[in-house]
Amino acid sequence: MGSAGAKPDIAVILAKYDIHRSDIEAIQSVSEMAQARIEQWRDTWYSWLRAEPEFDEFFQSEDLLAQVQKFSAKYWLEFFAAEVDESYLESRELIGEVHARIGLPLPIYLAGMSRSLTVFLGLFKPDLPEEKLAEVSTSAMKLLHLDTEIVVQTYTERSNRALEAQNQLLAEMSTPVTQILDGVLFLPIVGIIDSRRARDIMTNSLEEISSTRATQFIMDISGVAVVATAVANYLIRITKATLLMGCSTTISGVSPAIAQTIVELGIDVEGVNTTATMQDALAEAVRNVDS
Amino acid sequence: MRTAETPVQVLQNVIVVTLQVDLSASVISYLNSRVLEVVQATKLRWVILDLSGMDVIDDREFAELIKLRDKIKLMGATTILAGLKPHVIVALDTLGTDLSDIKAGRDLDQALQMAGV
Repeated sequence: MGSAGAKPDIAVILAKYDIHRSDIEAIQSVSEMAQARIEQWRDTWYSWLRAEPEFDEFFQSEDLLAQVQKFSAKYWLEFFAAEVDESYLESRELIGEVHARIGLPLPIYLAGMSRSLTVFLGLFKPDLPEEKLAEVSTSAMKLLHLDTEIVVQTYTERSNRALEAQNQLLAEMSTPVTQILDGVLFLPIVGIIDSRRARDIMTNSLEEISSTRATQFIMDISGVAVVATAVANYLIRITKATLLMGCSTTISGVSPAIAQTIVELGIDVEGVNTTATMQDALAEAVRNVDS
Repeated sequence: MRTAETPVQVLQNVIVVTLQVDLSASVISYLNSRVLEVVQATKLRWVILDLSGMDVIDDREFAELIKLRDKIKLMGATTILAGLKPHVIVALDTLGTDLSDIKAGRDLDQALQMAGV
């Protein structure tokens, strides 16, 4: 529900937050009052925001601040007009989008919303009978929760998207298989290898071998501190897989810890070519190319 | 008989078997008898199984190929697999197939070189 693509069913959303016609009417009944007090609200609320540590970080420029003030006034006027339709929901999504884009932390946003409403209710207090004020505040709270859900959802979606893009970038960067000599491919592996990355390494190396017609592949793991047993096994399997494409693999930079892991696994290391340093592996590759 | 789909031919003193169809039971049994017959008749020492036409090879089919290789070995000839595709290898590995001790060339050309042609 509320996701960017799908058309949200407004009746369902309203029912979820227990918002009835009477709630909408209660909020609308103070709409004019809110409009008349918008300046007061703005002054009170921004004096609170100015005191928050996030203020300096996110609202430094005066231009930006003016724009933010304009938009938040518009937001609250829309809120008290309480015409909950598609364009209302869209404008809430947009607000989530905008705040997420500047990287404003969700807690300060939520605190700001809750505080804004409190300020408004405080401003209504002198002019509303107590009973009426209680009714308005209950109804407004429900609607604010609905707004918040939409905004939070937009935040989450946005950060999920960013995370996904980052993961993909990382996966691409993590297996930079390069041709260093005619027929020789080289892959430096740095960091942590998990099963998924090992699998990426296998797939990418084989594709690269297929397209470059390489006959030698050097996999340097000197930048890898520890490998789990399952991953050590995977590295050995990669050497066997490349052989099926007529390409022999040398694993260079095997640290003592990794050597132990591999042997303790009981893997048949016969036929697996390893060297202690990358230099040795390169020298060997050059010899093989020349001969 | 499936001679048309799985030709066994002799190319510069190497027996080249081109596989292009799913390895059903009948294809496997044809392959086994035909290839061994040719090895015996020609007394050649190298057999290349060209798999470049195969987009999918499952672990059962691969196991049959390895069995064929072992039989060929008993007759004194050496088998080279040629043209295995990257995704086929990754799939076989994922299925837990043992890929050790297999002679293979990237393509028919490299396999022929390995056979000393």
